[in-house]
Amino acid sequence: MLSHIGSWVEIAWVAMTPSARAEQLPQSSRAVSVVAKVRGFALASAALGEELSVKTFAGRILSGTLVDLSPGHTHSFGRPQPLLLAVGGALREELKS
Amino acid sequence: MSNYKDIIARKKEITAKALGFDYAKYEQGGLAFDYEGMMNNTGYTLADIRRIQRETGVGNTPLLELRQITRLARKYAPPGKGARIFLKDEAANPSGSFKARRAAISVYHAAKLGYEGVVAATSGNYGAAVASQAAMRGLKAIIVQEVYDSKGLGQPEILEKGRACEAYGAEVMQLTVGPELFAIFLQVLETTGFFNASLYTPYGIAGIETLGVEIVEEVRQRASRDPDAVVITHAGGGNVTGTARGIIKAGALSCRIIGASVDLGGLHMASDSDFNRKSFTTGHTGFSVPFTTWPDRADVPRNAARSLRYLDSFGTVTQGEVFYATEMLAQLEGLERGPAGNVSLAAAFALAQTMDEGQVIVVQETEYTGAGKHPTAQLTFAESQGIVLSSGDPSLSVPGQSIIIPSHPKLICFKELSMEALRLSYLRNALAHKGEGQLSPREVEFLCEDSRAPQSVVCQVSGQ
Repeated sequence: MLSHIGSWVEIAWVAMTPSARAEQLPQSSRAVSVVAKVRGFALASAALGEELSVKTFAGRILSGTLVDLSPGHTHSFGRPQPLLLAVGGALREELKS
Repeated sequence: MSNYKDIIARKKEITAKALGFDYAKYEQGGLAFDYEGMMNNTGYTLADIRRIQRETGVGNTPLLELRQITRLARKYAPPGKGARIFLKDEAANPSGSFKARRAAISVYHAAKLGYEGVVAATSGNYGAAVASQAAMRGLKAIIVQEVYDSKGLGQPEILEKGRACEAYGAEVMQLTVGPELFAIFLQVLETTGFFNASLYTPYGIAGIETLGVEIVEEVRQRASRDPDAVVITHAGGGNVTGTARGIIKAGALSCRIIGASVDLGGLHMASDSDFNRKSFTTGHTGFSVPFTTWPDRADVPRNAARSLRYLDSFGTVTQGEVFYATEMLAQLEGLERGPAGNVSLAAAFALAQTMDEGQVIVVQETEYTGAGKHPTAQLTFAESQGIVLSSGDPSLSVPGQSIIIPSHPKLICFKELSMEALRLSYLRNALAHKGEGQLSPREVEFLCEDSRAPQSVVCQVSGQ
């Protein structure tokens, strides 16, 4: 799949390698790079994994690896939580007694 | 590729250009600076700030009396105890949180100075607030967030905040875990020449003062008295500082200022592996304790948020208690709001039971709720990260390992931290920054002001 010029995409790049990071980091962070992601309009046609420049909402031109074509928002409300489902009824009972 | 140390070394230079605010004017040698002088020189009076906020629909949020929750608290309180609980519904601000107050003045000021855009480093509601205010004033906005662990897994609450920023037309730069966020933010300031809409400037803090003023005015009207206590969700210290300054400006000098945070003790905020083991991304001890005990770790030369100057007490509640309080607010009062804003509600429920019936305690904020920013979203995510969920006594929970939803409302408890210990910790941090050499008389005086520790304690800690 290719991004089309002008399509909404997400790019990523390494913003800081482990050696360029802050000192005194916990071990789990020290071992990895800081990665940045930005969404914007593709300035060229590219395949996933290829280098691409985008124009962001703020008008900046940023370059990185194309990681998502048409990136959406998929976070949700999650599954019903039995521990919480019980709370409302119990509180109403408390107020009655 | 940039290096963290090199960028941070240029912090003063970059932030001075990106704020147009002369911090040097207030320096008084070494550790000392003229805090009140700095706060009184924003160029905006309280009346100006109210007018500016009104222009973009910020503030004048409803103060709601939580009658059912008050009734419930009284059931468990000793006879004659159980203060009236009020809640300031800050979710009614344009971007859904009190952060709109903070952003309103920064963005107005940036527009006045002719900046093309604003930048903020925030994984919280402040991003949406800056983006929303920038949209209203016709400025560009860039929000830099810490969102993902190194496996690319995003915290649901922060993903939602990123979505909101995008909805308001901001560029959202999303980073993996680490304090490098601030360096990358400075780079964005440097390369764009945009305004630094930091959370910690005098403008940001002055914007919150209206919240304190409104609370006092409305409580006087509704209850014919000053609020006896205001509970403030405490993170970086701006919420406490701004609200308390407003309460003082309104003349409610006997009102107790109480900070409340979610206990995330034991979790390291810069740790890639701890990052997704927490269910709260703000209002927690990972911010509030370090910022209370050393405010000048912020993205400005001098932090305007200095909570030790104002806190009468500071304590914690657990993640499970806040989720429970969020459910309580929805089910008993008909207000579905985001969990992070309800930290102070959980605390107030416990605190009200220790106060007289005739007294008034105010929960100082709510925030909007949505996908990700919701108890079910967070508990579902926590479970997927191996956190054990159960019902029982929340005081037995261990942050990052378990969340315990109270099995009974009586189990909600506000765990007070020692203010003396916090003051001592502040003084030790200050002395570490001082390095070699004796404290000047002005530095001693400043440390007393900034920590509210008696001079004898400052002298004892410094060995002078």
